Amino acid sequence: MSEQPDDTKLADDPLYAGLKPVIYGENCPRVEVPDLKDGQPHWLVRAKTIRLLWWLFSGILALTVLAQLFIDVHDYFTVDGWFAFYAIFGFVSCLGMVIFAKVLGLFLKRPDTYYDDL
Amino acid sequence: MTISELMFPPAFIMILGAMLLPVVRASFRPVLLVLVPLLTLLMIWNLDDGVLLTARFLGYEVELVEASNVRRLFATIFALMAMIGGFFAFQHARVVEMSASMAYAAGAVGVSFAGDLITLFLFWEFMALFSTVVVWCGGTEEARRAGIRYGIMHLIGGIVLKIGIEGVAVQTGSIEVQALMLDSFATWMILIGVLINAAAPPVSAWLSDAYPEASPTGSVILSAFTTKTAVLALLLLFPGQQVLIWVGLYMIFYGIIYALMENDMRRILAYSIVNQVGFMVVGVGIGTELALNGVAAHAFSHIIYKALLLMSAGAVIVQTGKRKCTDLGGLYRTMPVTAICGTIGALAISSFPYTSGFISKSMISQSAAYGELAFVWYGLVAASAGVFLHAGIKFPWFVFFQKDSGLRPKDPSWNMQAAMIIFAVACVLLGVFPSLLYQFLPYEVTYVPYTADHLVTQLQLLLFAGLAFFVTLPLMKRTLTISLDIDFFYRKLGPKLWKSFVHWLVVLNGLFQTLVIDQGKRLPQLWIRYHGPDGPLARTWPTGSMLLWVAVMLVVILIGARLL
Repeated sequence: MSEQPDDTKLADDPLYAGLKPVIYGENCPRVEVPDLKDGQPHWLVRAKTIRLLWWLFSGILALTVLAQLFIDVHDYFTVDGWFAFYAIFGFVSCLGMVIFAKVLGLFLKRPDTYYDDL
Repeated sequence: MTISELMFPPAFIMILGAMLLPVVRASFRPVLLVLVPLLTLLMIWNLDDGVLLTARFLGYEVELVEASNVRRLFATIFALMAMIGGFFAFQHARVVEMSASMAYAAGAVGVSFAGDLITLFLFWEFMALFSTVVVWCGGTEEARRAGIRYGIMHLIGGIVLKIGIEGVAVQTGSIEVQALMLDSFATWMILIGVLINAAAPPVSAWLSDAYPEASPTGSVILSAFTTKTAVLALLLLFPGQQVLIWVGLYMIFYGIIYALMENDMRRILAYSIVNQVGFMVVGVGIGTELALNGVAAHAFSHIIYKALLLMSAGAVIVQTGKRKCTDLGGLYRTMPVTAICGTIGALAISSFPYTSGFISKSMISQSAAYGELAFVWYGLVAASAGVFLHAGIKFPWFVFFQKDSGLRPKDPSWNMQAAMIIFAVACVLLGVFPSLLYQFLPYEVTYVPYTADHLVTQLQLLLFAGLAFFVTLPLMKRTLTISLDIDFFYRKLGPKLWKSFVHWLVVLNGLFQTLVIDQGKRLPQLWIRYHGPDGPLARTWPTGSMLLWVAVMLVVILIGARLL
């Protein structure tokens, strides 16, 4: 909806008779960024909160791995029974996918107006 | 009470509803939007198993309604989706869209109960028609073009399917919907026709091309029916066909990689539909009881959480008019209901414990483990992490959190909020009480999703995928781009080639005009000039010049003879 569609062209098309595009969010309220109340941003985005969240997240990550000391993980093949297999496999495969998408993007990405000029 | 003799298929209730919607008073429409699917549900749940309604059509005995538990399960979720989707839409959608959505859902219910290939085909095409109308209801120039491309793709798919059906009918004499062998051209055609609707390669692009161009309410409806009826058709026609494992794996990773490159939030979700349908296609390919149960369960829970995700995206569009991640962010401040519901949907799609995805998708990967398909299993596990990456975190992060966009929209209208809350609750309910869903699956369920080791391994997998997301966040900086896909050939290269073809036709035509036509007109004059009364070739030749030429020829012959 970022660009105003060409109304006249649509009206000429019998398939589209009577269908007018709806423009959404015209009156969406906006504020200046950064949005500060009493000189402070929203509590969730303060550096302090984010640091706390990282600590919390790291703690949980550690817990999920350590839990494997007490819980017997059933293995179906070989590697999947190793300690922290799921953690390492999840992390590494995601890293791989992100990098692959990045490299593929170099070849496949085009400006998002690419198909507009036809 | 159960019905063993039917007057009409359940789909007809919704078709009637679709016809009534435009003519009733606007205030009565929401009632109709809820009541009609409710009546359909009532009918669906009173159907006995077996063939319930037959008719003669083109000399064939067609089975308009054949019920079984898996068919009932799919029809149920389709009717539910029509109800909640319609309720979500009624304040914003055009009447055309509401009516077309209802007819589209009716087609899906019709396919669910189709006992033979002809009935299946008829409802299949019915869906293609009305889903195209839903795309058009986007109301923009982009939607008009996308709708035409979408329509063409599905009509081609329909033709391929029909060729297959006719082949099977001629070769075997049976048009029964039953497990087919991939041993003839005809059955391959049926498989390809169905796979086109499942957004399988190489034509996966139709989905992310068309769905995001529909209206904010239309894309919710579109996400549910076409691909999932294709999954049901695969489940009934091609269980255990190995080729589907590879097709599905491709779809899974295609969805992840393209979603990672994408900027438009609804296109991210569209790619993740392909990804999720990929899981189901793999399950059909594995084909064991556990796998097929997993497919049915996953289709059911997928429709709910995917609709929920698209509802939250639709709510954002309705309130802000923005659809690109680069324009959005920080909306949790003023849209808490939408942000929470969207996040629940995102957790469910990632199979987070105690959400619906956890109890359904795990059955499919488990069946790969039992089937000792090591490669497939590692692929599915990596992909499960990838789902969390591209949909589970990426979508809510870039839309509701990340940097502040400064936009301060309110939560959407009450009906939109209610629809989102209903589906969010459903995601959690199914996750916490899996037996709610398990009792309706095609085979008896012995699978237990909640074991200590499953919980621990899944949490490890997902949370470390989350870590990977935040570690690689700089690599995922949003760009104002789209990614090339197979649609490049028919959206760019095809039109370009056509344009240059037309250009060269014009040039060739000009050349032909000057070289042939114009010269042709001069031919009679040339004839007169050279052969006319004064023409050089018509003059009498003096004897002397003839003698000279004879002498020349003799010399040539002499020299020639000498040399040889």
